[in-house]
Amino acid sequence: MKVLIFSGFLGSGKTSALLPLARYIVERSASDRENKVMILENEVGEIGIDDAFLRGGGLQVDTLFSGCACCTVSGELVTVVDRLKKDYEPEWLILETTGVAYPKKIQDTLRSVCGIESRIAVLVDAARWKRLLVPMHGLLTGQLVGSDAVLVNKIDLVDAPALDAVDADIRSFEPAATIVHISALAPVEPAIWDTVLGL
Amino acid sequence: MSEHEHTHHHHAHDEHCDCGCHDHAHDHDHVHGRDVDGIHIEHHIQDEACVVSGLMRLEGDYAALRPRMGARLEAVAAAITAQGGIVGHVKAAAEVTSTEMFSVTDVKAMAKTAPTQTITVKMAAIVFAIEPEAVEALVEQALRAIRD
Repeated sequence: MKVLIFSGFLGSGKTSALLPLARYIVERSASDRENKVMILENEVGEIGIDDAFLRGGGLQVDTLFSGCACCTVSGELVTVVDRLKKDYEPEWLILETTGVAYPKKIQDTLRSVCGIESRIAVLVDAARWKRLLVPMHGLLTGQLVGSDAVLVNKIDLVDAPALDAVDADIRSFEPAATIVHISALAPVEPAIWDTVLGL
Repeated sequence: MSEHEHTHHHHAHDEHCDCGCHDHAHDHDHVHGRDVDGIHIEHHIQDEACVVSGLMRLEGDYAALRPRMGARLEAVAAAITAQGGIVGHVKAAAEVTSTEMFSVTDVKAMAKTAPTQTITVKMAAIVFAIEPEAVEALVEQALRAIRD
């Protein structure tokens, strides 16, 4: 089971991007496994909204409610990931984090407790980046630490210099990450999903 | 696949509550919930984030409610910003159930549509730098405005 931690600040577009990513995995898969992709949705509140939307998209979704998988429900995370691995053996498990999670902490937990390696993809909202960077600095930069791929989203809402500035900030916070650009206005190229998945 | 079971710690509270949640240093996550006039509202604190959720169920015509959904979310976000808060996101979802009954008593099938729909509206606001009670009030107000 390959694991992708799909993270990013609130409103960065994680759930919207997750649907086409999951469909891409299903379409390109040569595996004969019954469960090609499963979603583990972590909702910080008790009343889920994104999970219903994803189920409506035809995906298999399990949910961790009322806390963040990087801290308050990290124990439940381990239990659920272990159960999904044993019961369903999906080719890919995508963990969509809350918008306030630190994905590196989740990766460390999965590695140390479950012995599971994972990739981290982080979405960044290009349109709100500059506005949020000062008040949310610790959280925004902390979410980028350890990321393998950063998807700068909503690029249609910013001009080229603003986008360059976002890219430069990201490189300064996580130099090792591969940065790609996406927008809701255009389908995401397969090469971008391959980068996200490390293929 | 079913949603996994989970347990939570709930308690009723108000400003006289001695739970400590009303202090300015919030760093824990237990849930404060209340039900008022058919609307369930709850909040908890996750690190720096104030997480407020609201839920209501009603019978009605969703087409009439729908235009209010986006407008009310925008009003919540604007009010949070006006009060000095930072909007992470404000989201809502509507789950709508319609019932259509078919029957045959002789030869020809008849169809009847139930006059109202069952509508569940969920709303969630995750925000920063604002007191949870203020956000609760805004979410409750938004749900009432959608319903009434």
